[in-house]
Amino acid sequence: MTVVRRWPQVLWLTVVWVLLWGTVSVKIVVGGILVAAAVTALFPLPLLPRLPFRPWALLQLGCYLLVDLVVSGVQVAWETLRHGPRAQAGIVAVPLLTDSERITTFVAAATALTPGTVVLQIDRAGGRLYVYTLGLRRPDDAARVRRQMERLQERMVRTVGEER
Amino acid sequence: MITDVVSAVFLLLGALSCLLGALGLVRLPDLPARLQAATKPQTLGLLLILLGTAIRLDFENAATLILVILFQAVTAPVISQIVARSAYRTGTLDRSALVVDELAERMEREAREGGSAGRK
Amino acid sequence: MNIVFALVLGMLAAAAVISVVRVLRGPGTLDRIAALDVFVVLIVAASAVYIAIYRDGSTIPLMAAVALVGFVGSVTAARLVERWERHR
Repeated sequence: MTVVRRWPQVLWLTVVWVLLWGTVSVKIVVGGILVAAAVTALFPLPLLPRLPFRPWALLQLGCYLLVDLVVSGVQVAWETLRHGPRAQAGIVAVPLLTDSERITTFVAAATALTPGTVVLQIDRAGGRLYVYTLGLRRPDDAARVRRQMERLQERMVRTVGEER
Repeated sequence: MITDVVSAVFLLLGALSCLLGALGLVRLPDLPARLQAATKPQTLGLLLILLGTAIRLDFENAATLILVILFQAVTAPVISQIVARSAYRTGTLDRSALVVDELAERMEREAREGGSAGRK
Repeated sequence: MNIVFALVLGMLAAAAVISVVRVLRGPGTLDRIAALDVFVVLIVAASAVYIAIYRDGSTIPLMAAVALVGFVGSVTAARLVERWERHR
């Protein structure tokens, strides 16, 4: 029963199995389904409401994150070369747009990919994220970080937010 | 021929990005800043190198490489997240060097009001 | 193409040496963990370049394994540091 209800996990693990083999054949796919079902039965993850599947939004989010990764790579590299040991940073409070724990988790993970930022602390009661940002020069740069994080959160809600 | 050129460009950019990331690791002043250098340029560099490699392979092997790219893209943020959190909790973060510190402002306000609610 | 491979491997080797410097100098355990994580990524990158040179995909599953084990190792080590400090 646990396995049947968790069919998306079984499907995903089977895909990983097939990719690891690198070829598709009946034997590999069946073997993959068996292994995935066994893993799912032995180590069940807590059941969450299923993620909505919005391929277009997902693709947009993927491209956005990819661009962010390139921009942040260049920015961090520039900070290293230009300022080096005198690089400056700051901690910015960013208001959370949602109280969904899952979206907050996704936002925190995506923040680690976006330019020079990482989430240090989540204050759920106060609805705030505390974001460490590399390359802050002046205190008004904080507003830029807040705007950027707001855009990221909006995108995340559009992609994986629950239907109301 | 064209695949050779494209793959060469990807490989070179990727290696350059890895090198810059490693440079950041020694040049930047404190742990959270170094962490930025450790995760971002490294992930980007590995992605580019894996792409450059995948172009030169047949489809079967390239598919598995895509899987490695996915693993890296998913795990890198988690590592930087957890190490940054550990750094923050164990007090290795040098707060005096920060330009803005809105977290400290809040903690001060809370201390004044005599409550530590919301701080986990 | 050979020049490209030599350049790429040279840059990766230089990066590996630099990250080992950070491992040796520390100063904190977390700095070392971050630097070692970079080192693992560089190993994966270098084995990818090997695959690109010989067009031989037989070590790709190994790369996936190394990448994942490196991840688990870094996370475990970071959590351990946190626990140490709390007991201090």
